[in-house]
Amino acid sequence: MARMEITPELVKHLSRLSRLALTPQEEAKLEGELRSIVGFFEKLSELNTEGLPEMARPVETTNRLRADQVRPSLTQEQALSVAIEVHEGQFKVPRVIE
Amino acid sequence: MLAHEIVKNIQSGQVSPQEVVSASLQRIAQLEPRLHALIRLNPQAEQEAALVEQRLARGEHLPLAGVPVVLKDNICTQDLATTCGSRMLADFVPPYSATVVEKLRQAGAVVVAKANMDEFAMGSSTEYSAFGPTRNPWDTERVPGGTSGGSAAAVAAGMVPLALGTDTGGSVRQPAALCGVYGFKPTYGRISRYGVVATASSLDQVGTMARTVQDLALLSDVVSGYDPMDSTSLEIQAQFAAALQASSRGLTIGLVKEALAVGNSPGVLEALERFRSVMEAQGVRFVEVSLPSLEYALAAYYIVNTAEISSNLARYDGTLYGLRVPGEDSTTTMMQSREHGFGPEVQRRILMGTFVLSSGYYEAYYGKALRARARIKADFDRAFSQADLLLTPTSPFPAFRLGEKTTDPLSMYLADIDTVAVNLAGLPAMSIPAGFEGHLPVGVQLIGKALHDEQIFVAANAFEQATERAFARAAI
Repeated sequence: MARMEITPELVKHLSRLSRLALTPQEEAKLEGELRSIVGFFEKLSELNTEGLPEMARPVETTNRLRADQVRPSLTQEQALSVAIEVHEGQFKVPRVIE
Repeated sequence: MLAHEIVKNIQSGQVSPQEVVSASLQRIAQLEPRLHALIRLNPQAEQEAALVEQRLARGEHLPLAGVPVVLKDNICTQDLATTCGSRMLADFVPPYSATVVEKLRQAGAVVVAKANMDEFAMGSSTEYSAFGPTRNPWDTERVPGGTSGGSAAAVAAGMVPLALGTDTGGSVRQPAALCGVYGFKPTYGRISRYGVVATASSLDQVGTMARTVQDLALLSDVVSGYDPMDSTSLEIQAQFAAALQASSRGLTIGLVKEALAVGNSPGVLEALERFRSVMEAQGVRFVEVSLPSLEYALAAYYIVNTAEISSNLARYDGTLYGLRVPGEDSTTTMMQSREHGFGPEVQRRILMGTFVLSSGYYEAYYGKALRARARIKADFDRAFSQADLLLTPTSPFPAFRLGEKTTDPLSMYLADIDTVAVNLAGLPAMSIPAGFEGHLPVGVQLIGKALHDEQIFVAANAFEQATERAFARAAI
């Protein structure tokens, strides 16, 4: 198993990928915790898994299609009831393109 | 009162649904300050009880008529806040109810409250709730287990006879064991997940909790079944109550060598021994079986669990719903919202999951864990060629003290050692109250073959009958 060194740079990188604004104290604490957890994960390298499939789900599932029919659903008002901001009957979100 | 007694007494007119619900609310008012099992009461509970009465008067058949229930707070309830134990969803009021909630209401049950839980179902003690920990009714200095600790404590303390939790890696069974109640996680797909907030989708299942096998069967029958809204739900008719008529004679139970070998506390070993001797007297045969890959289950589980968490929880970004902490641009807004909305364990798992899925390391961690999962499943298949059911502890120890494991995340993960393999393989399993260590209850776990969930109830019922419910009595 490829070993990954847990470094302060890696924690910063992961926090950016994860969109978590960590404080320096949190980063330092997480570095130690991740090191111990990843060290525990290394145990798996002892297990021979050659030739085994990647089992992503516990049961075999197949696509289930349904008839394309109009059915009762949430009203626009209900769907928007959870919105942080609403504008003219739609979700209003922070600007993503300058 | 037990659920089936409530139903009988309501149907015969001895007591009204309002009286039952108000007794439940009184019990909650009395105990909640000491236990903090609940996040929110349903302010409509008494009106809903009155509606049940009207439906009964119209002659409707209601298998859970007037039975008060609590739901773990990651099960969506229309017009009643569903927080997942998180600041992120502290004010989230779902516009619809989960299918299991619809089924409960259809059956005449009354949701009296939403139960406390570890934030987004991550933890093993209910200490990671953003709203404060729940305490164990048997000893309020100790945890109730988790993540469905509020549900388990509420049932154990007699606030309600029935509760729903969710079980991603033992979150129904382990708190059931630590609180001295029954906890059942069905085969993946037997209960709809529609409207249940996702933690790790390939592992999550709704589970049932009760103080007797009969009550557990009653609840499990109501909530199981195919749901067009959940394409992973299975088209299988639930037969839990019917299973209680069957005899356990002739069943073979496999003692899982590897689960008995690791450090179990004395009360746990005693309970396993008791279970075996009681069941042998019931005509059950015991054989030793081996699950050689079991010791790798915890590592594989935490890789799969965190990987799925990191992608499932990406939706909480302060954009559409939930907490938003505005920043100078959209990325800062996302990062601040997630930093403030999520507690330390959730952040830790998101980072871990991002790591195991990251470019260059996916194969070494996530891919490896998925192949280990296939090996664990194959080991179970082999064990089930020798036995109908498998016996292990539910937890290696009884309830631990508050604060005992929160400083070291890995020590908390180790509390799940007996339960996670079942979720990786998608199997049904139940925690059965089977003894005490000092004043603390101890559970044993029976694991069934996929889709043979009912067989677990046959054996659990035989044990309960033979021991006259000696290990599942009210605590507080």
